Amino acid sequence: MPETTPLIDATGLCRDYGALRAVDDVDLRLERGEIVGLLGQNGAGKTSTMDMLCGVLAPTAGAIAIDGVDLLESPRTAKRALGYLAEHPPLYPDMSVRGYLAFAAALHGVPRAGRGDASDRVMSLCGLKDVAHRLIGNLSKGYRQRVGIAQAIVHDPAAIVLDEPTVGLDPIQIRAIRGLIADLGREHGIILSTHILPEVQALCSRVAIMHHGRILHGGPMSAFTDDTAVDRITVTLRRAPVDSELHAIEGITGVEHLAPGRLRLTLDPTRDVPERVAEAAVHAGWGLLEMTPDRASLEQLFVELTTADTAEASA
Amino acid sequence: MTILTIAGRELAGLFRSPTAWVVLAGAQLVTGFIFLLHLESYLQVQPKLIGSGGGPGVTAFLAPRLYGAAAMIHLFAIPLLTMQLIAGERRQGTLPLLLGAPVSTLEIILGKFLGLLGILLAMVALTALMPLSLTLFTDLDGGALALAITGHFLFVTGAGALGLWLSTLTREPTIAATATLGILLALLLLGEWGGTLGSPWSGLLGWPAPATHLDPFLTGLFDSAAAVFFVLFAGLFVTLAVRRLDNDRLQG
Repeated sequence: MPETTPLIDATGLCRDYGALRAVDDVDLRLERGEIVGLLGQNGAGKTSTMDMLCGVLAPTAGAIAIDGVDLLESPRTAKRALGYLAEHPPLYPDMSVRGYLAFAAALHGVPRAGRGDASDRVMSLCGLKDVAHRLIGNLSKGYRQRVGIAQAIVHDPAAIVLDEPTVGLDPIQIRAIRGLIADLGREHGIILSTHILPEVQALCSRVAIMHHGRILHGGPMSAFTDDTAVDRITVTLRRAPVDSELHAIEGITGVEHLAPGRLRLTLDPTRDVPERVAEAAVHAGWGLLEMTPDRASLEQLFVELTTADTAEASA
Repeated sequence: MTILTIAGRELAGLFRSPTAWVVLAGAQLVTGFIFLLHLESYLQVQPKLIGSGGGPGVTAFLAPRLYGAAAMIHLFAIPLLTMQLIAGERRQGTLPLLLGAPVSTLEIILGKFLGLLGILLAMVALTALMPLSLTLFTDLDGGALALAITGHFLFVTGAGALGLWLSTLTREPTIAATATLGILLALLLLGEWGGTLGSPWSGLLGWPAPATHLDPFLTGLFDSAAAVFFVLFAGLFVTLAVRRLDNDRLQG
């Protein structure tokens, strides 16, 4: 048993639409202070998964606990700990920003006396002070998105679920929203869905790659940024040796010729192989021109996972 | 508590939209015109009635005519007020806010219904102002008028509940409005048709039509069966609306 209950603990989630299984046996956990990125192509099942986590959609099978409370058995208590920004921010264009946020607070059980303060707090957090009394229908897309996020956090939920929070925004707005999410991620737990890889790299502490309704990979983002995890290097040599000489270096498991003199070496990441390659190059006079680590990139993994499956399916 | 929050937003939203104002104003204009027509004809026959020693008083003469006409006019007005209740939320994409909040579907629907009742009450009050204006000049039969107002309110409540249910079935408010009007008219015509066939058809085919159960209220009778009909009619469609919204969560 872990010491703290996870904010969101979903196990075996399935969701069928008629004969189509949109979400298939998904397990997802969210701990406090964590930002989990749910990554997948359009139609991978991200939105269905998030709708289920927030009680908007009933799962066909599986269990969801929010901060230890079963969402299906006691939805009222469980949903209080949740804030949800759906793919299309659920905004009433005829309401003012402040009125709308007070309404959202009331819906989520914030007592009458606290609603004004709660709205003011999230408005300053999301940079909405200047538009507090404007009608939502007259706001720009960037502001609307911020109102959507403000709505999700107005009742100060422990867990926040954001479905593609930066879609359709300009680069400056994206930066601002990412900054906001990173700030929120320190105190709350956040699940964030996106199909933008750099977004996951910039924000998330953990990533789950989803494809055809299944989670194909789940793990910490540190695997992609940690220097110790380098398992491939690219070297450029003026006088490349024969492969057997390279294989003789302890820890090298594969050699691939990219171009004349340019090689990709697969290696055991637990040993100091790059250092030995450099030494060998100097001793044998291979003429080392360049050596760069090939970090296992998220993009690489994403493309591998999502296209392998497609190839398999079409085979 | 959350029911009132949802009802309050709904009512405020209705009054922020031009639709509600135009519908209320249009219904009031037409009803007012009909009221004046009937008042005029009453004034014409009144000397004869006095001469023949009695006859119906002004309330007994006006109430059935005014409220019969108002019910017909409101048959067209109500679908325009109910059409966006849930269909509008679907279209705007705001339904996830309600479904994701710690609120049950029953509370959502009751809140919507209560908000609708607010504007229907305004409609009933605006209509009631017409006969009530006559108290400046003459004495009215207060009991008979109160009964007619009650019947009118029950009638619009029933029709509103039907509209609410049809609004949960679609994401297009215009479809919800058309269907509501279609069903209300079909029920009315079925009753009329039954009337031409005589017993037992008149009772059988007329029963499902709200207009049939409005009649006793307009003739100064309190028919508890008619009152129960309206409560059941409204209850049925509110229940169906709750089930439909629950189904949304299940079917997606």
